[in-house]
Amino acid sequence: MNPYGPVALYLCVAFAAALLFSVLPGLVARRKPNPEKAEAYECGVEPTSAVAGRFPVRFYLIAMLFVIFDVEAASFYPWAVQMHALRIYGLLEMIVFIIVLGIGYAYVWKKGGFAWR
Amino acid sequence: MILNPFGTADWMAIAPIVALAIASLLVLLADLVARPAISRYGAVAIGLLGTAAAAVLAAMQYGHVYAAFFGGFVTGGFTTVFEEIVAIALAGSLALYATLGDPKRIGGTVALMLWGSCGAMLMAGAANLMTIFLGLELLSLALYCLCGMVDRRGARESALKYLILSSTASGFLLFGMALLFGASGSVLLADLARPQLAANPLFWMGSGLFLIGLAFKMSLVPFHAWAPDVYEGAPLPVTAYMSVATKAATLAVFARVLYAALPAGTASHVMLPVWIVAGISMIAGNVGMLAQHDLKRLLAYSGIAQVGYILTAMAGGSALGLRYAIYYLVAYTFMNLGAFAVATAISGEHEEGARLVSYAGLARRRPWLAAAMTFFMLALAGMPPTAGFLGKILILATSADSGYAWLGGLLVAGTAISLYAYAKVVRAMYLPQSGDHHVADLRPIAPLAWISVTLCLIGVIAMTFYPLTPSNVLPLLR
Amino acid sequence: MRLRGDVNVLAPIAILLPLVAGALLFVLPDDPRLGKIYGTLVAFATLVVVLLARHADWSVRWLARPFTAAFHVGPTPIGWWLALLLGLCTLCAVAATNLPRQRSFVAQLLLLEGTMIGLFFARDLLLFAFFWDAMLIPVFFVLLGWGSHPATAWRYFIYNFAGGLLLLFATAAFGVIYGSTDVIGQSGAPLIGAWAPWIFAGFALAFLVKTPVWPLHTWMPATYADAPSPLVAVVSAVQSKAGLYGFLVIGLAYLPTYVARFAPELVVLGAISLLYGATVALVQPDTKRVVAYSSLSHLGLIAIAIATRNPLALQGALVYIVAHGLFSTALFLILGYVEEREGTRSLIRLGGLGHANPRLTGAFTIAALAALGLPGLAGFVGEIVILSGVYQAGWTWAVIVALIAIVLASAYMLRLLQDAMNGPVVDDLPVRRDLTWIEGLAVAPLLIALLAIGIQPHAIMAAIAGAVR
Repeated sequence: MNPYGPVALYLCVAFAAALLFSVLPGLVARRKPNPEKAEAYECGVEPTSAVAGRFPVRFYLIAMLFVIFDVEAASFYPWAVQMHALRIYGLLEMIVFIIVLGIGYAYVWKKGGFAWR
Repeated sequence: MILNPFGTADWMAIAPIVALAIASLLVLLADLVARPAISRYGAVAIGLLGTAAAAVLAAMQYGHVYAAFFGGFVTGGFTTVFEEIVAIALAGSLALYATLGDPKRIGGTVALMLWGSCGAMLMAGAANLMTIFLGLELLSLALYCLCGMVDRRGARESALKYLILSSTASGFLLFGMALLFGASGSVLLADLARPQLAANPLFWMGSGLFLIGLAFKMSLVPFHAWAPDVYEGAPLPVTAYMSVATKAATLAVFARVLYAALPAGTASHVMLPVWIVAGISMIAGNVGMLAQHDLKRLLAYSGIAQVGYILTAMAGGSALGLRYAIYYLVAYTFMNLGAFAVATAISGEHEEGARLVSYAGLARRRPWLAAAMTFFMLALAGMPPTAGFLGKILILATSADSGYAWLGGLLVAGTAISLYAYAKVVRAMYLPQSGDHHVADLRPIAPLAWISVTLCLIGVIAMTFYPLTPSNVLPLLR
Repeated sequence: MRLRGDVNVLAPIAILLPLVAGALLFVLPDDPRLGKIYGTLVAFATLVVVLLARHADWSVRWLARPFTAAFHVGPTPIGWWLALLLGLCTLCAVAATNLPRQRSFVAQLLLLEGTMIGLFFARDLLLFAFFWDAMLIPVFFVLLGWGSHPATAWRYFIYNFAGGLLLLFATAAFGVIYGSTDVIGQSGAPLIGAWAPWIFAGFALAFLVKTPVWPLHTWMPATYADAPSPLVAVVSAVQSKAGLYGFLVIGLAYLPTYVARFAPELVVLGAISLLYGATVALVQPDTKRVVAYSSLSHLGLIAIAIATRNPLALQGALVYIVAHGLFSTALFLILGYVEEREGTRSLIRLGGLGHANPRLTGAFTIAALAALGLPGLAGFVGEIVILSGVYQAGWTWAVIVALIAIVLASAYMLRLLQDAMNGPVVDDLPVRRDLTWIEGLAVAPLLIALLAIGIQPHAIMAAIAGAVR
């Protein structure tokens, strides 16, 4: 059998299941709508604002910076595990990596990227 | 026990890229240290020095074919040529940026341009799928930011559009790569040339998706709609950079795939859609140019058609075709940069040079710039005495030679259409002016922009009379 | 031999001299008199260089792949006569120039001269195509800057550039198949193969647009009417001959079988141009358009002569090419003088100029008589030799058509002369201002040359030998 056979089978099953569960309710469910049911559910409290609220774009900035430094930390782990095996080569690689990252960090800092204004 | 797997030769192979990366970090450092921020000329000087170093290092590799990093990056004639094109584009747009750049953002912008060029150079030498993607993303990420590097509504629109559309294209590219990997079991481009792949449907699907991704990046016609909008919004120097460097890098990848990574006998079938799309681009791009009132949009459409011309040279996959494609690409680099340099030279804070209205009566106010712009427009249209003329005839000759005369015919038709659009710019400059809505606040002479104009002029003229084409661009793979 | 080497360098000098001098003129101070004197001197020097460069042959390699090409310049015998004609016409046109922004105009005329000498001196087909496109540029700028309608400039440029592109395509294909484009005026074998008809079609269309021949002529009347007279003189006298020259040195030399195969079509097109041009010229109220349509008619006759490939007809064609160049330059320059004085080109408004301006009338009469083929002047020799040759080749009906057109030519030329120069004075015209001695001197060489060639045309006829296979 083609090694991709199971993948194809899995794909088909997943697709079929998703299709089934989205179509089935429409066929079997009974519908009795009223205004309360049609409202957005907020823990029983009456909704006070639009569903998609507005919030400062700063969150995105912080989130992006977080992701960058998070990824950096994540890439330290595999290196730390294999540090002895990689020896001086691995250490040098990591130092270069940290220097590049450090300059970026300092740059963001100086340009006020961390200041909550 | 894992020892250092890479030798000195591997690191030397990417020396030009490292030089750019170091220059980029130096710009950021200088920006950190300097109070209140780095000066325009400081940042650009560091950038230009780095570019020069990269160009020299790349030139030293010319002719030395070496497959570095397990075959992920191949040096040699082909790579060097494209690295030099990227270096020219980078140097040109840096010079323009020094004239026109936003002083608040100079450090970051220059650094991003340098990083982007690292990506472009990686693409120039990339010989496996992962390196291609790495280079492409490095270039694209830098460009997303560069497009938005100015306080203008259009710039933000441009950056966002580019981000979203280009990411979609990257998705296609990546999916194609995944399928190709699935078909061949290897990320090396060289392994895609194995004959048994020709019968594998995964290979056909994969290369189809891969080519769609590339076609998007090259802005070929069904995937071209982003180019005018993105070009229009981006700052002028960034547009200049994008119009040349992105195209060069993507064409490098395309050429490597076409010439070295297809099973024997499949090239004409796999690539047929690309040739058709290139033919449509030559017509549609030139027709699109006719209605434009913005120089950046006009040159965006022109770029769509010009890529078609370059692909016409490659159609048929002959070695000579590749050389002429490179010749035309270099010529295009000079003509396009030259046109943008003229636009920069007459631009102030509001980028007046981007609007065709600003060219009204330029011949009287700035006769030399007008003459240079005329020359670049003639070159883009393929009129003598320019490299555009010779390039077109070389392309026509190869297309007739390799059995793609229909592409040559479309090229001729497209060129005929394009003439009107290019001449529109010329006409605006030379027509006796009735109204007085020209740029009253002409900038004082901008030395760097004028130098760029001059160098581009020299480049275009010299290429006409000494049509050197690199002879040892093959083999592309080891 | 030392002298020989010196002569060879004259070929590139003849091309570069007007180009460089023209470009230089843009830098010199904007003084109308300076521009004219400088331009006249340069045009005269160029004429002398062309005269001396008769046997020059100079070459430098250009391309090695995909076909060999060279910067190979040196006149073919036919090209030398055309270059000489060009030199004379440009000299007269520059001397007759009297326009606003004169310096730039003269500079453009010199640039045009340089590119066209390049065309006639090119021994390499690629170089030929190069100059073919390059010579459009100065004309385009003049039409934009001095013409009355920008649309005319566009029409001129787009028609001719489209033709130029076809030429480019054909040249590329020719180079690939033939291996070399260094062929003009050299005795290479004719081109054969499946591509040859297409290549011929490309060349032929480009040449027919340039000449122009009906139905590709529609750019021409507007261009000739709108542009300033000195430019029109050069364009109609020499640039329009580029296509015919191409037929002679490329069509007849390298694609003779296709010229023979398509001869009926070419003769028909030529005959239609001949009659159509003459008929329209008969009723045009605009003086310059009368001469423009007469050009269409005359060039149709030359196209017929070339299509028949008869040696006699070809000799006549070359004489007529030169003759037409001379009298159309003279006519356009004189009509330019008239327009300058009276401010109109309309035959309805003109009239009675002759009484007031005898010298103007005299010059005009000689030129018009040459145009209608008066024996003793060059036009007659060309016509009679062409007609004998065409008859010899068996195209009797074409000869009859041509005879009708020649009768019509007398009618429209005399009408032009009559309406403008004689008859009662219309409106408040004319202004009493006869030709100044400079203006007279500018057209005199043309009229003298017309007479000289009319009496002694053999030198020109000899140049055609070897053009036909």
